[in-house]
Amino acid sequence: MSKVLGVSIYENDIVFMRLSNDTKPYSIDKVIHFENKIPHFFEQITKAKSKETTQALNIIRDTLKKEGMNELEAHIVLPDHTSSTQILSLPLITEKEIISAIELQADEFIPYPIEKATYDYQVLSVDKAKSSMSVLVAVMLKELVNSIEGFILDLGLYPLSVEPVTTSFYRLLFGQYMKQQENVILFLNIDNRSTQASIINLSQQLLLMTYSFSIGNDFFLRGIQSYQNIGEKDASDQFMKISEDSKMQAIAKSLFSEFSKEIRKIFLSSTEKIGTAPKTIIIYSQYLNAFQWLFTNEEASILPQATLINFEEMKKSGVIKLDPAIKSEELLLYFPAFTTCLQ
Amino acid sequence: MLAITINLIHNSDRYKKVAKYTYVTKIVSYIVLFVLLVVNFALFIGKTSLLKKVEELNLQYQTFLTANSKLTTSTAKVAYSYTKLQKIKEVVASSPQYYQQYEYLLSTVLAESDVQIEDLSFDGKNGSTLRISSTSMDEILSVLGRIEEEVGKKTFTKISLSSFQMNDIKDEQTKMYTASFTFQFTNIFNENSI
Repeated sequence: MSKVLGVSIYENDIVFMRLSNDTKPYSIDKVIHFENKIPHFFEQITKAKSKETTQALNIIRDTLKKEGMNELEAHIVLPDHTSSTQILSLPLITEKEIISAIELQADEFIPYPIEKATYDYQVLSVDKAKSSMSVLVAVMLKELVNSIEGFILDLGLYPLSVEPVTTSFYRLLFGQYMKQQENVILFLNIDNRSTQASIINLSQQLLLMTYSFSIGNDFFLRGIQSYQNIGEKDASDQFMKISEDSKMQAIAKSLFSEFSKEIRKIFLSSTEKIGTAPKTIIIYSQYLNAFQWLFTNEEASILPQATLINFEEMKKSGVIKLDPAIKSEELLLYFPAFTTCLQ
Repeated sequence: MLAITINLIHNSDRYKKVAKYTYVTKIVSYIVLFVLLVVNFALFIGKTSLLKKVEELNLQYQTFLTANSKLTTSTAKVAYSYTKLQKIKEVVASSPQYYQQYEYLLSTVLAESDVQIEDLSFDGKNGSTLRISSTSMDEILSVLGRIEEEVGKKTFTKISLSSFQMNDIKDEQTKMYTASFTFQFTNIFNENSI
């Protein structure tokens, strides 16, 4: 049974998950978490290697070797804020014309010239009656992708793919690995710097809309820091335990009102563009419990109940099999590393 | 099921190189597989034909073995018979020619003499004893004369008159003469017969 490595790189963490992805249940036998000691990782990685970068790299490489997780093929997933994911509605055109169309429209959704970018696209649906097609496009800085590829090679791994967290979650959602009652759902990937929202019709296997707004975990943490006058670590810990702290609840609720405004905009846009609003929200965030509490306790909310993504449910439904040493409740951070391997 | 295939490193130089190598390896492996299949097929055909040939040769070998076995038996028999024949020939060659000796004695020695053969024996070593009787002395003498004529010829190595008897016959006015001879024949008859 062949094994692959799912690698999820965040600003503050790098996680590795080893699994066999040949047949169900996908067997997860080892996970490793590293605190990302390289400050401003995604800026730093594109520059010449600093002493800190080399040190961090050596530690990770040696640990992976020690744990027998080196020399494996790796699927890499990066935070959504490092990329731009869009759905383009195009007339029925050829592959070559799709590339030209993406390059022509690129300046509308990327803040840098297309020459500096690397992108990939996938035709999601073709409507011959309307002579139109929808194309999913993911764009990232070429320099960053090359640097990440080099970084992974330096770790003694063989990079097979690089993608943003959201597209890796599409694989999970379209692959129907999770039980879902509603057809039309809103998937929110709440990143540190931004949130990527996607409206998906699960029964028709359609990605209907994508929307990104620059409110993420950091928005809440910085708000808590400034309200409480505490450090980032404390703010993170308190946000995690929101259900136990009434003072935190009040602060977070006021911050969440900004967040929920964006969600309402998406619902409005969804009703206007596709004639229906999502019936379920599926959230992925490192602060999953905090967001679940906020969605549940939002006053006078028009938002539907939020569903959490968790390994326990997938374990019970036979999608995955965990090594006894691995606790499913500790795997939240590893979820993108898993979903990127579902290919 | 919609399979998401977004991969942002598919345009990187390394990825392209790996993809190129993978493609080349795939093509090469297909070719190798094809060649192996052809070779395998050829080997299979060759093997089948060889097996058939081996089977034929085996059959031929078995036939030869059987024939050889029969031939060996016959050869042995022939050899045995030949030896036997040689022995017989040897025995015949070395054994005295009784019949010739007997014929000779009757035709040459006794000829038309009016004598009775009382006893005639051959000792198996070319030796012979003859006892004749007659009421006429002349007849006995004629036999003796012919025997004398034979002396000097190569028929006998030794001739001897071992006894001569004269007896009166009861109630008759005649006499019975009996003479016994011993002959030692040469190998003249054997040489003539071979």
